Amino acid sequence: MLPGEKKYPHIFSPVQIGKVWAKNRIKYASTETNYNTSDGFVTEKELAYIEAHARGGSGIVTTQGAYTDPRGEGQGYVGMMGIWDDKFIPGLKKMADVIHRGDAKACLQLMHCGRVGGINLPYTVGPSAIRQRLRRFRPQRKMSIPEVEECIQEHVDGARRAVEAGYDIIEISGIVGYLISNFISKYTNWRSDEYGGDIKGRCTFMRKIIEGIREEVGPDVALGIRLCAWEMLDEVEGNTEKESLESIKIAEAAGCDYISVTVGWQESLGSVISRDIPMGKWLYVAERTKKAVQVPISMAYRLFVPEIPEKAIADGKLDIWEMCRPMIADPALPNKIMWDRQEDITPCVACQVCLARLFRDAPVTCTVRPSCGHEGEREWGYHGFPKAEEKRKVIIAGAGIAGLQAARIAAEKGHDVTVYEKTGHVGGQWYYASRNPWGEKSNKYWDDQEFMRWINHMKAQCDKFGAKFVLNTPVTQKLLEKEKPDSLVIATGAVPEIPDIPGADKPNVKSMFDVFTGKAKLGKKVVVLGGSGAAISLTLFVIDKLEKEGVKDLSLAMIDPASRFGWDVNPSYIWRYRLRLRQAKVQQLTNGQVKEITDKGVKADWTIVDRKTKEKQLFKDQIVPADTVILARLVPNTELGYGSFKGDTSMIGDCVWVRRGIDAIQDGYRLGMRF
Amino acid sequence: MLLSKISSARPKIPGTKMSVYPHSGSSHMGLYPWIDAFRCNGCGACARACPPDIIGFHKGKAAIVLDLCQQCGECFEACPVEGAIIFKLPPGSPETENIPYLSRI
Repeated sequence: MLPGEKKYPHIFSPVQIGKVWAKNRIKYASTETNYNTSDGFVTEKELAYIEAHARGGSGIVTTQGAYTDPRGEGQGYVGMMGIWDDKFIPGLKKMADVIHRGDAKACLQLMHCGRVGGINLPYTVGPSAIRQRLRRFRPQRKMSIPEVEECIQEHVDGARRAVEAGYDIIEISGIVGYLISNFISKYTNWRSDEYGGDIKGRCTFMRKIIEGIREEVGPDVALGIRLCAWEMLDEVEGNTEKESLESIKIAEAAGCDYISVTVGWQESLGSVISRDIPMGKWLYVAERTKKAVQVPISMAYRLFVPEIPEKAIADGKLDIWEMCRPMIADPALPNKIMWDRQEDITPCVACQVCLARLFRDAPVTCTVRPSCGHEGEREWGYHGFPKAEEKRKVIIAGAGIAGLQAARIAAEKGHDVTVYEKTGHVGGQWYYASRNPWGEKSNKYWDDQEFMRWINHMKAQCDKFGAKFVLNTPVTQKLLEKEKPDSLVIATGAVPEIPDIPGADKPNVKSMFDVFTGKAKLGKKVVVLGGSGAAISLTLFVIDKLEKEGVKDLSLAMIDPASRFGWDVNPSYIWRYRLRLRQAKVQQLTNGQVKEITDKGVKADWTIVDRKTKEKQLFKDQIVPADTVILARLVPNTELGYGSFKGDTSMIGDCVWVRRGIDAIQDGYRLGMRF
Repeated sequence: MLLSKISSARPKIPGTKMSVYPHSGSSHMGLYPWIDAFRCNGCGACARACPPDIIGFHKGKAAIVLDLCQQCGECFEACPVEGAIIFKLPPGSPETENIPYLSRI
């Protein structure tokens, strides 16, 4: 018995789904990737990606959703698989074979995207024509009864093709606004015929699909469905939780062998899977469903560490641990848990880059694993980098995220790597960011583990491959002359810009990094000079900190030359930060120009443009009252440059120009590949 | 500089004996300059040397209009930084296509 199996006996116990046995209770949940061709054929890129997951050790590997109709109404993503014709079977079979070779059970998901589909069409289809809430999606058209019946038949044909291709399990997707969920939800189904009405009538479409597939494929193939256990659409009269539970019971009665429960729609206003949701928050939904039905229940949302599902399975709240994002970040996660090598797991930081790229028709990539989507390319080194022919002495200046990533790959390739860090900690900006309030909400707001999980993992990897760390030592000319490295990697990151205005050297002007570490004392009236994502993160931290300290009558302002704040933040979640800033009544002084910092406040010009009327409001030489001014405009650190070392010099990360964390990690990875 | 000369020059990553891209030695496809943005220090030598004048600067790094490139190799010759300009096959050509590591089917 392997150490992880001893530690997590429930996760690694076999599970029966219908007549299919899976070796463990980890299921790689269906994830769209946009790697396939736009007409629905499986590509080698997708095969290599799925192969990584199949070899990763999960008991069940689900393919991405395949759309079932030839018109493309069900296609919700440009690179989505198709299953509407027999011509797709060879590609799908290759994928099933790849999964079987990894000793996993192959599961194919049938997905008609319904209201959020029709990516190449000017319309989407659904039970009723309901106005879209999100701009991305096209107007919805009502399906006639022959269309609905044809759609059911297409699902059944799709299931037949999946069985022909060799899949053991067939899953139907009825979540987050896809067609089946459209039919089930009161919000989108206003029909009065047999497919509408009360919850039983609204579930008719789903029931007919399940019964049709069961009749077509026979009892040996397992059949599952993903359903919403809570739609989070109460403000537009979506299904109540009771009705959702009823739909799950109907699915079980119709012949489903397992049910995967989810929470929320794409149109829901609350956050469901982002970092502000504590891990395991949605387990109560699974528990409630489990009490109501007999078949196994699986669940995916925010279960990133094995302890939570292990306990849930032991307590009888859950049967199968599903994962999407943690396994995008590390496909080999189940095997690493099995060997209890958890420090080797590349942890997902719930940054939503994968999701945001998917919705912008880009292939999925991962912040913490740049090799995502390049599993089949040798030089990207997903399956390990070969040792370099010639050992070189590499000095890396800065142990931020870019430096750590470059150090890990250079060390893995066998080079002699030393990382010098000016401050006393590794992790750079992520060390500071891990203190921001958007994380696991424990009692201590500074105890945000999510970013530090990646830093600790990377540090452990560097240590494993033999990279040396020297803290509290900046790289200087003298040090380089003494050490004489073959290569120097400059990854010194960004520093807050000190503005060239009178009063910038006053004691009440603080650096944002000092605020994060708690070195700087804050007053009641805070002005933040900056408007990027880092400045917003800092402002949220200040709000949270001062609120927790019980400070009342806060006055907060942000000022920056930009016309809109948070321009570099992922659009999928910037709304949440903007909402929080509005709630805390933070003044956002756009198009601002700071002129002077005095003891009373900041003298500045700014212009506020109304978003709807486009009306401009000019403010000139105004004083924003402040007792603390925080510098939060990040600029590249210029301590070291190309001229500082005669020899192979590379520059990566924020010291080239200031970008997001994903860019810094990508830089480090790409440079590491070239060593 | 002729194409054959570039091929024989075998651009190497500094300090190693290997060329970075194993296929960059074959010459039946065109070889195109590729700038290692992490190593380019923005000195401008390549831009001054480029005969059709198609090298410019973006974010302090050299940038090439590849469609107009005549593959003469002058930029490679002029570059003072070892490894900052490397000649390689254009993306998508048969030899640079993704070769699945394990699942070649």
